[in-house]
Amino acid sequence: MSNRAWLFLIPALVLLSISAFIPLMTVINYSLHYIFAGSAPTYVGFENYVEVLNDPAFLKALGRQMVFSLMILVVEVPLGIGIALAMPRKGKGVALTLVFLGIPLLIPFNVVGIIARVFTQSSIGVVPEFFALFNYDYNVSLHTTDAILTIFFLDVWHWTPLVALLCYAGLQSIPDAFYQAAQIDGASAWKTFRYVTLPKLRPVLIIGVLLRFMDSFKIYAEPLLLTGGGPGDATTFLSLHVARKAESYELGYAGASSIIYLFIVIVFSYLFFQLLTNIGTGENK
Amino acid sequence: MWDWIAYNTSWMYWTLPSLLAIGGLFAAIALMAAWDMIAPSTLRRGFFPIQTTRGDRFFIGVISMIAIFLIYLAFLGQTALWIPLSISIAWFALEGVWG
Repeated sequence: MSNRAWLFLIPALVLLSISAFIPLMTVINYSLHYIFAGSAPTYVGFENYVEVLNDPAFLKALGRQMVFSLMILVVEVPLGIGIALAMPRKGKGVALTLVFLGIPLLIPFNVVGIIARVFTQSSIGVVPEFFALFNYDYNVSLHTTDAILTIFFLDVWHWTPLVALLCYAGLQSIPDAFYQAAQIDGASAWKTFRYVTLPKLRPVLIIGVLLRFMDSFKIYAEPLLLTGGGPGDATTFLSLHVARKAESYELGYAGASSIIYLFIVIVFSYLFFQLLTNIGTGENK
Repeated sequence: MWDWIAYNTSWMYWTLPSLLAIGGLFAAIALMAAWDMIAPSTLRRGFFPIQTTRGDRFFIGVISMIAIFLIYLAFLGQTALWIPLSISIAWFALEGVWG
């Protein structure tokens, strides 16, 4: 074999095995045991999986998480494309726009959660004050809709710039010749977007959709800091549910739910990847 | 040496079934990699609506196997596990050859 470049992968694989393989294997092994607090572990086979898959709290958290991630994708991806299309391509405005878009991305998750908490607190927050002008009693601690929508808009504000920046980079790489050809053919603005821009954005959109899906599916710090999973369990997403089980030392249950969680992320990421890679390419005909 | 490994990995709670399952999976991945180096796989179209390589079909097979087990466990619990195992193996072979 002439190409020995794969040997250079060995250090990375060793590091990966330490940072990913060992924790993952440990979680898999935990999921097959009954472990509570400091008690000696008992091998129970798939019993924890049966318990997790029949636990209404887990299934509700999963449903909530699916709806949330779907809402995120439906809003953030088109909005990101729209912002990228509206951004200036040349001149001084480019740098300024990029800086403004980059600012939310620089803020850590927990800081975003704390900022949102200050903004939405019923006694001092600016958001409840604003809604009070319209006689609406905004309260994330009491109203389910307020809590869910606040976390949703928080995520949209925090992460749409990522999709926009990816799309902007994709747009910059499309040669002008394609647009000139479309113009000569008399294509409308919509048809130019549909048949030139969108197909050329496919690679960055695949990355954008996958990143946003995986990230939104793992949302943890924002609901934890803003609502603590409430009111009731309205914002107890899957990560929060799993973390609570681990915090209460139900390590077998937490391990099994983590593996199911990981499995769902892998399956949906693969489906999105295949869908976005193959859709409209004509390979499926 | 084995005693040393066993002692220092005892906190991971390895059991023979999990060791066999994980070891089998990684051995299969290593064999697939070796097979691909000897005879590189090509894209082909089977009954799946996408073109797949040998590795894609293996991945789909593993994912399907986990899904079959989870669905079975959700509805029927931890009894007669040879049923989902048989279904998984049959599906694995089916999609591996004709998928």
